[in-house]
Amino acid sequence: MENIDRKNFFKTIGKGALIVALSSALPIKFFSKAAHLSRQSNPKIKIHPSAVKRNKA
Amino acid sequence: MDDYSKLSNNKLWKSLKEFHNEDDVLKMKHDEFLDGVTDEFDSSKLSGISRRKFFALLSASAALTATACTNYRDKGEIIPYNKRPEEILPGAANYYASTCNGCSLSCGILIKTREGRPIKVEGNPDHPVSRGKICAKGQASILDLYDPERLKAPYFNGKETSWKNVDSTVINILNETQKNGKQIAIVTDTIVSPTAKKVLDDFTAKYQNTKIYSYSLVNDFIRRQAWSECYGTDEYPAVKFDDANIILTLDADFLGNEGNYIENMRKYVSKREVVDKLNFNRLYAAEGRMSSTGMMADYRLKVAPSQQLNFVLGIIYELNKINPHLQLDKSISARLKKFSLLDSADGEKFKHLIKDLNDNRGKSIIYAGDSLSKDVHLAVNYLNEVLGNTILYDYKSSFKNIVKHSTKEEITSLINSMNQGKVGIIIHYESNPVYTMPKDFGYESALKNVKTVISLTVSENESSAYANYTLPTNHSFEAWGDAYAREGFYSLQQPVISPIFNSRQKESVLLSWISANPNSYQEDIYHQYLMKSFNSDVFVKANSLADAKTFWYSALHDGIVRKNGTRQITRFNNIVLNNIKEIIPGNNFIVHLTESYFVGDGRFANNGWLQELPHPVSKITWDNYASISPITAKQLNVQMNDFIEVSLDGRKLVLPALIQPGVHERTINIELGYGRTKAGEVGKNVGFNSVELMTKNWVYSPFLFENASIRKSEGSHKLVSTQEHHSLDDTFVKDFHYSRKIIQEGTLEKYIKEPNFLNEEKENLVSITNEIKYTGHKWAMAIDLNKCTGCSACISSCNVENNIAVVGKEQVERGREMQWIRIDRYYSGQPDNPIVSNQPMLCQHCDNAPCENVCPVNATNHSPDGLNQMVYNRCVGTRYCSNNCPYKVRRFNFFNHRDHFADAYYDNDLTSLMYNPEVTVRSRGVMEKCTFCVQKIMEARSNAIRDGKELKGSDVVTACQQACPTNAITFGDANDPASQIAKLRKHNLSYHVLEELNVKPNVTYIAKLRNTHSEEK
Repeated sequence: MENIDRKNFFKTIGKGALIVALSSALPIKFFSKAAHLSRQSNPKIKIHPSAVKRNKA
Repeated sequence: MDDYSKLSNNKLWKSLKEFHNEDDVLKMKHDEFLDGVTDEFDSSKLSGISRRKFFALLSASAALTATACTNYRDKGEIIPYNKRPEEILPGAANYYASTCNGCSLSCGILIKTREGRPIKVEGNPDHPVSRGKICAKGQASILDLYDPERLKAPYFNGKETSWKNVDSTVINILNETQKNGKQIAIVTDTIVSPTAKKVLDDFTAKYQNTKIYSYSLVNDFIRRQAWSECYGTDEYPAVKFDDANIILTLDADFLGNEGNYIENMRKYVSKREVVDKLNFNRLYAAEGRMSSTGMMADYRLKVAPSQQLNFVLGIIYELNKINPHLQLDKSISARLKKFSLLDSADGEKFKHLIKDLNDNRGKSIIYAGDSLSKDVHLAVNYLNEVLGNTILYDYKSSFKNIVKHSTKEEITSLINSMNQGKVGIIIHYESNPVYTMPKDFGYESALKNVKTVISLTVSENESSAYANYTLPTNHSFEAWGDAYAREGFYSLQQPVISPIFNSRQKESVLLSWISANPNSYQEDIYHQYLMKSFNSDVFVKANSLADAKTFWYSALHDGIVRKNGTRQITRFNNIVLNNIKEIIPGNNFIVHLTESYFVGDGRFANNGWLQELPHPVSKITWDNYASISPITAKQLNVQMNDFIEVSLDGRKLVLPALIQPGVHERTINIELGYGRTKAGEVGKNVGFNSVELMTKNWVYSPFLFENASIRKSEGSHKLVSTQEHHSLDDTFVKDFHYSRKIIQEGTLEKYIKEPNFLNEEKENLVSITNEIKYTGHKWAMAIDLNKCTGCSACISSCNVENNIAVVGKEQVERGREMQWIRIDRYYSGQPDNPIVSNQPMLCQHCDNAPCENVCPVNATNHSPDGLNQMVYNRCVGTRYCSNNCPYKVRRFNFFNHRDHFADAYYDNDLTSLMYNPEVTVRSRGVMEKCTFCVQKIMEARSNAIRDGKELKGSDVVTACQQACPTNAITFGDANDPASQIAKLRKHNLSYHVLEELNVKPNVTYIAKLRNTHSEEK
């Protein structure tokens, strides 16, 4: 395993955390592709307008 | 030794391994859970981890979690309706009458919806044939509506396109093909809809080069052909099995999957009544395989399918000997001969059969299977004539034939035309000929010579793989339709949900092509067409006082319209007897192909619930196999799961062997419907495609082939059977099932002589704890074993009602199937022809439930009305309750199976719409089991409070009870002395399984009586 000193280790983690924090703040759900996917995953349910229901005996 | 002793003194065994007391079965019984999760975990094998790596991983996970949490997938919000649809009362279910189109029987169904989502299918009680019952396939078919792999849009050469583009280009191609004089071929499955036929006729009128071909893998073509020769019509009558004292079936699984088996089961058990009056028929089954009907038979004779003609002629020969008054036709008299191919034990049964048939002339029926040759059917029709049994034919309910099945010559001519480039367009009209047609027709290769191939289909299949246009059609719950499957009534199919995807009704697609205008499509195009057709064909003839609109809505409400059945009785044409071709059976093996009980002809292959339903006889899930007799296995040195190669004139199939007790030594039974290569993630490559063994040049029938050779092949394939799962540890109790009297049976004769024979040895049991008094309702169930055919409709219905997860083959192998009710199948006697007993087993809701005492968190406890309850939120998954359950009916969620199965195939927004909102969806680490459908009890209670009535036991119908085609299951309030359940609990034939443990189970079994002769000692 590569020998990384304590300072470098936390530096790397710190950079990573900063990138994560910044990227997580991006409004990705408004990106068109993501919004499109989100819409696609919710199937529309509609009762058929001509169906005739009945009361179960 | 008396009859009952003879039956019950036999050791009961569930499998050949158990019969021979093999070590792995003993181990399986001893271990509570098969290879549990903890067995796979070996801490010594884990590698160490450094402190630095640990922190690095921890930080990385924390960072990833932070990222993931910032964008919750929008699942929408639960908000009340701001404009509530008129039909919907939130929290209350609606029901819509419709027609099942899972097969050509067209049973009446009620589709239950919640907030617009179809969530369950039940039988329509107003339907004159199915009378409120449907099969396991029909119950589970709801899953297909929410199959995530349904086609969502039209495709042209693999690329998504619009319907408008499809319509305009296809109309151009149709016109061009018509102009060029090339054929337009439409290949359909069986059509039972008169209006769909009209659409096809209109299409043919518009495009005159059109030819319609009807082909289905499993069909009654031979029966119709024989009937046509005997009586001049191919619409054969139903049989009044409820009026028959003696029933003889010849390789006919009339209680399993032949004819209208739902109707047959109901009629058959009407003469298996022990509760209100003793009314018994006697069932003889002569068969080569072991079928559901064979399991129910009072007498089962092993007769190879190729010997059935000689068997029938042998019956006529014997009848003629004992009854000289039988007036036999000369042509048949000349060829009568003694049937001597029976085992010595079966010889006695044969004598009883002859006597019974002779004594019950006009009150018996001989019924040949759909897969037998035409000659057998001709001989059977004649035998029924000779015995006067034709009185049991119900012509008012004959099986209609709307579009005739294409002959071999017609299909061959189509394929020749395709090969010669004479077919311009081929339309697969919700059919899958690439999979279903015998390979020697050469359909698949001929398709390559057709310029335009169009597949109208709900999901992709083997045929759509060759299509230029793959066009999504509506699921039947989204589609209009009608059916005229039986004389006497007409059924309607209505959509209960608007199409979820960009699919169209298949008839609408053709109608818009008929109009030749790509802009003509309207959503209600077929709806209007159907109403018009209904008015002219049904309303006008009904002479109703109501106006057309009212009549239409009333028909939709009821699901059916009764018509006067025309009675067509024609005389038997004796000349056909000259046509009976006797083929001398050889000594080689006979391959008998039969329809799968649950995946049918393969159309239900992608339905996880149906793949996971244990086979009624072998209890195998997720596979088909070659079923061979123990003797054959010994001769070939084949063990269970070993691959064998079956060869038929150059056609070969390698598949695993299943050694099945009761199979004729020369018969190999293989089920159809498996081995699909393009059926979706669930059904793809499950089992082996036995269509490979079929040929267009058959001799006996399309499903029966003589002169097969079999040999042991290299390797093996693990067949997974649930039969030995959830067995009790009998290490310390020899012959457990017998000595503990889990199965209690007797003969009818014994019962008549000694009605109390079952209770003679019963002792009063003393409890060491205080008895709890149930003063209000006390819920209980009774199961009449005389009526249970093992059809598994109850399991299927329970799966749907209670959101039971599909776990997959690998998990079933580990004994982790989740079904709350199982049907135990016990054999007794010797493996060459055993006696079979079925026993549905579910939580017994014991008064002194041993599971409750051992739960450390009180997750399982008792309700004041006698229910053994599960509190899922409390359960910490110790599994102590399951260890302590004597009936082994508790199921532990080793995984979140929806996520774990097939790469989370069923974990999606679409399939989630199917869940019953009244039942918790369980996850990993939770124990679950039958609740006696507590949600239905609560609903009935709520309705009773609303209506100001007292809750009655009969107000609650559990899912299994509702589904049972034979009404073998009764549920109710045991504290109500007037109730049926109270009556059954006191019946002479009632018993509890493992009564001596004094756990006081609340499921009562009614012991089975067999109607055998007293000489059977």
